[in-house]
Amino acid sequence: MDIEAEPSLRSIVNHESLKWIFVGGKGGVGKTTTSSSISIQLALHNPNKKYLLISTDPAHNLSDAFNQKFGKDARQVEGLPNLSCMEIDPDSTLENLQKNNESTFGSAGGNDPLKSMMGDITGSIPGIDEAFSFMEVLKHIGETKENQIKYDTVIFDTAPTGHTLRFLQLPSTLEKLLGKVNELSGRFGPMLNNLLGSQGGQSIDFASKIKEIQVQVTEVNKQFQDPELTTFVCVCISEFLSLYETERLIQELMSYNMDVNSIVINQLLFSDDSECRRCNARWRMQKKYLDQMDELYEDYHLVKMPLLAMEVRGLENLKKFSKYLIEPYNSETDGHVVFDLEEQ
Amino acid sequence: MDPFSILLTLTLIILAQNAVRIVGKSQIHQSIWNLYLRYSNDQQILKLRNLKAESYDVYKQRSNTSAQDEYAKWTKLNRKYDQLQTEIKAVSDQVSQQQQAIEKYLGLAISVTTTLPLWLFRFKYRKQPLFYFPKDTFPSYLEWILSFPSVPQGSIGIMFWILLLNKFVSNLEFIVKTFSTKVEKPVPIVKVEDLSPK
Repeated sequence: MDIEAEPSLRSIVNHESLKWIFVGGKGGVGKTTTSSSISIQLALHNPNKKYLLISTDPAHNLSDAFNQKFGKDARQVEGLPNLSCMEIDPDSTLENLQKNNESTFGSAGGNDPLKSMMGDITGSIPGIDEAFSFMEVLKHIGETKENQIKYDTVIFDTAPTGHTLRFLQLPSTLEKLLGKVNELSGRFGPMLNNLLGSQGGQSIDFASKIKEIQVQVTEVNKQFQDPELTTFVCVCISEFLSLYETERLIQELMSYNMDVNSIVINQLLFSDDSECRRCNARWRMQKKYLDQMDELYEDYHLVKMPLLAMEVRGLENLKKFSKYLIEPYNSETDGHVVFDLEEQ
Repeated sequence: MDPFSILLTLTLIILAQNAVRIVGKSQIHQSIWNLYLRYSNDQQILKLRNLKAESYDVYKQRSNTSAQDEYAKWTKLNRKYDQLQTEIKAVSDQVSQQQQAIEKYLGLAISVTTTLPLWLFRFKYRKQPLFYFPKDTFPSYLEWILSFPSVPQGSIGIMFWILLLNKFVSNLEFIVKTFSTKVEKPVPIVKVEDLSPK
């Protein structure tokens, strides 16, 4: 890339083929606001496409961000018909998953030791819960029922860093693990099937069930590593620890072959000549890290967002705020927005 | 071979065998491998040496850089350090394959030089008396045992000499170890009441 990356998310908004957009970063840096803003801008710029914003954070705040109640089923945002939101409760998906597991590996026949062993094996694989809940989500989105809308792009508002990483690591870990299980079941499968079959009355083809899951996981993996389909937007604030975490996040994502080329730097003060001494000092500190970031991530889209006077909540406020994801914020001409938000 | 040369060679071999046993095969492997690492001209090993030196250099630079004041510089060093670490790991994996091969041959060489000649001697000179006792030193049934299985009565054969030497070395080892290990002196038991302030 010769040209310096422009400091906006225009490339994402104008992208034709993106299917999955992840928004992640440390806690408290404005992930939810950013993901909502990105979704709104996508929906505004491409009125004929359908978008879905999903929060996988156990502490849901999409409802708060939009001032509208969302649940585990996709619901349209009032005033923006081509954007829907849903909040997934990881715990309830887990319960579903366990029920699902039971049906996958034979109905739980009370004290059947073999079946509970199967449950233990599948349950003890690290990160398996996330994998299943994630596949559940994908299945949910992927199903094309008659009255269900097909979404062009899904935006994920992910939980703070550690959780996100584990979530993304899954396809590759699971793939390795399933390879091992496959190998084993090739040897012991017939025996297992015999045992299960003689007890449950019906033969359960364990190996083929696992292969089925592997196919799904591999497909997801392939999609996530394709920069035409998936991208990751990092959100951070201009402070040391946040930048440090962001760097780690980026390195980690790159090791999973995920595409990362945008960083949103939130909560900047832009107070060059204000009366407030504290603001000035703080802005100087932020600028120090901004310069460092410019140097470090020169081929990334570094989007600089202002800190507003109030919480950015409600569709109208989010619209005003999100504008600057596309058109870089200019503190001289756009300064009015800081106090422009409507009181909720 | 005259009896004296056989005696001497056997003694040397057995001493060597016992030395290997006492020092430990892995210890010998390790020290030879260390020598090899230091003086070898192998490409991989040279590369590993350079990488390690470089990584130490980067590590020192990183430690001398303030992460908060020069974030960009620090992060670049950090990236470089991480990258060097992964490279080092890859190269040392390859090198450890070499190490395994070398250890395999070394182990083979040690057992061939210490065990094989012993068996050959046992077979070839099994009827060769090494030395005779002066007449009537032991009662004849003892002499018969000592000359078992195939040397003339009244002499010592290879079998018995090997047995005696091994016994001698292991007893010597036991004595040296017993007297060279320090034994902790027992500590007098302190009653709880004695500790509490009066």
